[in-house]
Amino acid sequence: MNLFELIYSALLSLRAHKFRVFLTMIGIIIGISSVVTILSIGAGLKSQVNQSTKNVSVNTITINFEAEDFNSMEMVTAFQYSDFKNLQNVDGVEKVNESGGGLGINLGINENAEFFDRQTSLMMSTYNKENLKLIYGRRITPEDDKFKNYVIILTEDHAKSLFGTDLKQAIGKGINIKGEFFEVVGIQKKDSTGVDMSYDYIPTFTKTFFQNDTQISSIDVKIKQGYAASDVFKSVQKELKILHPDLKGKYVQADPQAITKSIEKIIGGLTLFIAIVSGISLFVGGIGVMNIMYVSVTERRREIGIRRAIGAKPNTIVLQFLIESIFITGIGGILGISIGYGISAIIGLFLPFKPVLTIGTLIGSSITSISVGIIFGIIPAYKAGNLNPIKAIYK
Amino acid sequence: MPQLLKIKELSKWYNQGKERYDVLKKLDFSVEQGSFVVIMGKSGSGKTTLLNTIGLLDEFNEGSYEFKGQDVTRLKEVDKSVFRNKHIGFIFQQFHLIESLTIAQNIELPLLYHGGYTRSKRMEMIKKSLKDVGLEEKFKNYPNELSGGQQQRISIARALVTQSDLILADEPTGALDWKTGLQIIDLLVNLNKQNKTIIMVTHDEDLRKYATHCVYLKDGAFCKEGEI
Repeated sequence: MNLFELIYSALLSLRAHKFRVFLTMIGIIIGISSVVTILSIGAGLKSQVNQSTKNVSVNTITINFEAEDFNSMEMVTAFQYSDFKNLQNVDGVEKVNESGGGLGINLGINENAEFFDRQTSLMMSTYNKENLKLIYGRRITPEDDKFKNYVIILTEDHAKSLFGTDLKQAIGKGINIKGEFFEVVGIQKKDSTGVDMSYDYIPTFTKTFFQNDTQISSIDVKIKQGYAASDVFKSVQKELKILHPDLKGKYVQADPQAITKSIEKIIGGLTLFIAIVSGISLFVGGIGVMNIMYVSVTERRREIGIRRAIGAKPNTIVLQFLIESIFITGIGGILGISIGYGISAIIGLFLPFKPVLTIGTLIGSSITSISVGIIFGIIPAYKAGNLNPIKAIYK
Repeated sequence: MPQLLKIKELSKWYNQGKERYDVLKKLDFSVEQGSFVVIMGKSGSGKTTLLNTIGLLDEFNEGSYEFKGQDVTRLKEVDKSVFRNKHIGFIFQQFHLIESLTIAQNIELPLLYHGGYTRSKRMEMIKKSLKDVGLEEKFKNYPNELSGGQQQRISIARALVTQSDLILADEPTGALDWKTGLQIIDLLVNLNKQNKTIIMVTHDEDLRKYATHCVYLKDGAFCKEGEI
């Protein structure tokens, strides 16, 4: 009996117990669809993080200061605005800025803001994000710098603290920051995570107004074309050591990819954990398959005996039952993958990113479902193949 | 006629605790090709056990067994399966068709286990077997849609389909009424006339007349006609 004939024979048997086969499949469908849903959402989130990393400029390096003593204030005095002029003269440096936006590390300007009796603590930055999303108002324009307009774009949470829930009426109002009135020109929309991590944005010219309050934890150095980043970093590092000879610690190049990787690692870990939990339901599904296969062997004892009497070899019976088991879990797996992807796509409608069904998930789930069929089907199949034909027919 | 099978001093027993129960006692038995042998005896005499032993479905403890001049005494389980598929056709009292398969699929099974036949060849062989038992039109039916007599005919068709050398029939009329039983016996007699070797187990004295040879079993040993 060749493989096709075996599959044909197994399918004939499965067809005779359609409903039972379907019920058995449910466990596998639930297990596989949960795993696929979780992995697709995890892959979608990873892809989103990767996409945001790609936006980080490749010809810019970020430099941090690693103090020997983490409690020291050296962390916040390692970079001064006055350093920028010297650094810009270093060979290969096109421009120097405090880090900001994206994955940059800018401690920002921390000041209290007041609006009549209400007040809140702001974290301001002069960085003007091109893609800043606003609920109300406008972005900060070059004209604001040109005409020295003291304007501010508040985060949604800060705006609520100062103006209550009717945010629209905040536009045009003046808030008091460090004795100066800043006109609220815009209110930002919360980012996709729903957590307000953004800065309150102010025009660049106000930097001098807040100079003493600005804490720079890192700087972005834009490199001229034709220069190697590592060489420029060494030169900048040397210059910084000259500028701050008393600091105990070292200047290091930050790797934005490393941050992404650590985020990816967290997402990966979470995904794995949830996938393992979902895998337990797959295990339960597998036990269900084993149980049904055992029931099937017991119910079909006579049939097995007859098959043996008319020439089926023990291995043929083992293979037939194993193929039946693999078919149950395999088809359950295909349905599980489809349903899982469907569920993740529906969940994706409520998420800021699109779940991704990767080839790895597809192949992994298929192999898993087939493996479940083999692992949980082998013992009942072996039992079937080794039944004594006489006992099977007559008892 | 050439000899089909020969068993020598065949014994089978089983142990229960310290007690030994003999089922078959040193049986010497041979069957020629084309003969119709009837094994008669009362319930528990060992008839079915002997039949199943001849079909290598059951094992024996002592003795030797030759089939078509070949020693088949100690075949491995796999080889026994091949032997049964190639040489033996079983007919059981309760028909033993597989309920979940159609008539054609039931008859197709021995051919699938044999391997090497194309689907069209299998279909051709199934149709011929069904024609031999007069039930060509039941091709697509399921066993439970057929009468007892028809199911037994299908069981015969399944035994015939691989062109086996020997048909072993265990009380083939036992579950049928008298008239239907006779039709089955007629069918077996016709097959025997076509040189098919048949060994049939029965306790029905009336069926003895159809046999070319008749043996009597009592408590696992052969005996004379009047002694059973």
